[in-house]
Amino acid sequence: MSAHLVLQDIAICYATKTIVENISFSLEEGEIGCFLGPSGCGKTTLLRTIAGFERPAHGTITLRGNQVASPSLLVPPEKRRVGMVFQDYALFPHLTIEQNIKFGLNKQSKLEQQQRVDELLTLIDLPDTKKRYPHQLSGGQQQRIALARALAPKPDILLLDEPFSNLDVALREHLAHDVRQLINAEKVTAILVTHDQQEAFATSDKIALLNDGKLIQWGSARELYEQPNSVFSAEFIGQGSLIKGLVKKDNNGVSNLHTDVGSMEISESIAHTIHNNSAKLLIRPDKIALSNSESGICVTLVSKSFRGGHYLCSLETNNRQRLTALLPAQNIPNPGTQLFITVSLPNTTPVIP
Amino acid sequence: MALPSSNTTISTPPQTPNVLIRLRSKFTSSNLFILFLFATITLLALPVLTVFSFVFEPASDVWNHLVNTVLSDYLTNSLLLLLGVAVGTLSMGITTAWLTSMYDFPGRRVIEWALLLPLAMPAYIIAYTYTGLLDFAGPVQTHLRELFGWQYGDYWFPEIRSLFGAICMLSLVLYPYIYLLARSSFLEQSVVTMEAARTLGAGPWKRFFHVALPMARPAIVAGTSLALMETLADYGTVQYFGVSTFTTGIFRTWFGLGDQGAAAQLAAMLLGFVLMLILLERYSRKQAQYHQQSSRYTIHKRETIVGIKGLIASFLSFMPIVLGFLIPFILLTQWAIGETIDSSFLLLAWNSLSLAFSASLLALTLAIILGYGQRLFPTKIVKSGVRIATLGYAVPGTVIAVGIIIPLAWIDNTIDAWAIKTFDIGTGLIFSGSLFILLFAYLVRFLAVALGSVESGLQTIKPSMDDSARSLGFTPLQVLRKVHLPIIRPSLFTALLLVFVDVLKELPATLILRPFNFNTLAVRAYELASDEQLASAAPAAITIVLTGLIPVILLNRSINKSTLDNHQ
Repeated sequence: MSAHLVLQDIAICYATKTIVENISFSLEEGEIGCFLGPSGCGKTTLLRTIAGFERPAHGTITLRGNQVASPSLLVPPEKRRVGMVFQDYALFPHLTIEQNIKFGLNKQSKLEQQQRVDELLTLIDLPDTKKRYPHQLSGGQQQRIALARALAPKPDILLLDEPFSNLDVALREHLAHDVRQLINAEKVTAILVTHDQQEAFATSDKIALLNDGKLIQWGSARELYEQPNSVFSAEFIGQGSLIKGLVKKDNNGVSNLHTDVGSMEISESIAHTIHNNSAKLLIRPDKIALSNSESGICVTLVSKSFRGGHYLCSLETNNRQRLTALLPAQNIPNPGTQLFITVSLPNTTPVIP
Repeated sequence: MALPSSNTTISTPPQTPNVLIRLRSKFTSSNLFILFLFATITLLALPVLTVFSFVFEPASDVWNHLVNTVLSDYLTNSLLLLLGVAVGTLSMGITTAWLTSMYDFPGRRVIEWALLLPLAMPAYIIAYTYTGLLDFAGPVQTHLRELFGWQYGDYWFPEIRSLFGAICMLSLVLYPYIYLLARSSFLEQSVVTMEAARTLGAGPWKRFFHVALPMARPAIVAGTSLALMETLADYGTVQYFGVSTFTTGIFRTWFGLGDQGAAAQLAAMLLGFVLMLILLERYSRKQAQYHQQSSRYTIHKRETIVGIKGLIASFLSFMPIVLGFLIPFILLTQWAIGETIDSSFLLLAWNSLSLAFSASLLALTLAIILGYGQRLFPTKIVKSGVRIATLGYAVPGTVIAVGIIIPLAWIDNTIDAWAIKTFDIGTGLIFSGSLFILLFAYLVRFLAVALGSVESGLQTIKPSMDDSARSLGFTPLQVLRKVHLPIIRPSLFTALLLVFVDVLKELPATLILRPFNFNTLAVRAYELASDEQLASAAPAAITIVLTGLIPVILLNRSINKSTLDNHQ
């Protein structure tokens, strides 16, 4: 059985400007995918192309085995069986909540429609809002109604465009969790667009990291965090510092990466991707610890900011390479002081070519 | 209110006793302003209040006579006129708005703005040009007779000077109200919502009837009530076509039957209709607030229609422009070319322009005071006071005229009688016989237009800007002069221009209130047309239409700008 949604070498252009290109990935049934990237990277355009609002300039989109888009074919959104949750929800202001949810259900009997509305309202935990109008609900409630409306016709795929961006931070986290449970409960395949990695991590099985119209990396949240494939991935996902180093082969023919903070053996497969013998190590802040003795690496504390129990410290090596470290709040001197640290370099430490 | 007085308290030197501070704060600028405001409101509300006060007057013989004879005519004709104009403007306005906002077809860009052109055409002017075109001696019927060899009475031709004709004329110049509001509603509100409807499986017809139209309903209702207010206010068209409505009835009762009381009572009835429309409009605007949804990307894409369908769309949306502007405009130009412009025309033009300019300057000044005052003292009382002061925009000119002349004539007569008694010299009609009364009437009728522009200009200035200027040591008046007025200069200009053009076009109030032997372009055009001297009326008429084009062009530019902003 082939994948539920397949994008094959998609490119999208407005007039002469290329918005995205070379996008290929596939999503299995029931999986939640995510387009993650900074604003302007083309993630919303890509989502709207899957929905059918834009026509790809190159490539094909296949949904449940049927081709729905190519440069010569454009199945309109109303024929695509996609459910979409818009950034500003786009609830119909002139219809009640019940009528909003029923909007896409015109092929079923009245009774079935009623049952579906009740089922969804219970699922999103807003059973008493049927007769109300969208403007009478809070932002978080409107968001859940928009989700229920999109889910009501049991779409082949659910698309969510920055669904939490209009909500405050506290509500966001809570809702991201709820949305994941809802999507799983409805057993629907979904794609979410966000610029917030926490949101992406909390909701998605697979993440497409996009930058400047290109797919940088495709994988699970863990893969992206643990094995970033590029400087962009490393800098965009999680915190960390990139430390430059030189690759040298030792007498046994094993490649080693030598940096200011230590050396590490690298596998042959990674060594192949490295040009000019220069590569970077990604050091996460939690891999750095204060050293008791002067045997550690000598660095200068540049600045520190309190994170409750810990300080997030910016450090500088003698070769002027910056490091970010999360250090226990005790015993942190004032900026400008010299410190000794140890950096743990397990062999899973990401190496960026 | 509390804000400036507390400021004065703070800035008062500490040695001043408390009692003095309290006394002084009673006479702060804020209190003076409130006093001025309520004086203005009372003056501006005077005509409407006067008219309403006649509701409680006992019925005169003339009134009883009216009730027994013509009142039911006034009522049926006015209602039929309203109904007809509603149907006409709605069908033209919505069709054109939908086509131009959702589709791209040959000529769409030009048609889009040209659809506003009929706004420049006063109804009484289009009425008399079509009469010249379509009546028995006009070119259309003459050509038909020559073509088919018909004689008088051989054929049937629709009578333009009828209720149906009046409905057509008014619809042709009033549909832009609905077009404008419906179009901006279609363009701004439904883009994302329409996309949501598409993802839920709704095809084009379902999207129009279940989403776009109901969502635009408040805008459409607001546009319709504006068009209907204009319909009720119309005097020139119905009088020229011999259709008896409330406005012509008020005229006839006043000047024909000489009964001011009965005329005022008719005016009060008319005002009742207007009031219902105002409430309807206000209500819909309130509803419209809920229907506005902001969205960050409203890249509006028009569907291109080509071939026969495209041509049909072009034709449908081009017809209102042809009928409502091009045909009458070309006819007027032809007639005007044959006329010579003499000194009497120049005098008329001077009268009109100077009058319109003085009125617009006055209205602008008052609008700035009220607009800025509202900003300084945003209390409920001040706000509702300003609303009352600007109700006049909905009140027909005839009603305002009746409501003004009655109290002013009374004041004049009282002063005159007193002067004769004390000095043996009569003062004559100081107010009601001079241009003062005309300017007063224009202010009552058009202040809302000026205030609208000034307010929308002021809204673009963030309150924090006032605060920062004040914190830098400027008084409210200095802030107005140094910050607000320079920023909103374009809005001030628009306000001036809109009132100017409205005054230039105004007919019924001018007709009633003008001093003896004083004529304006509008009055002269109307009088000549009434005397069947259609061609002689053309130079004055075309001057009015051309001036009326300026605000239409401005309006169009501001629309283009706002849609451009949305596309970014």
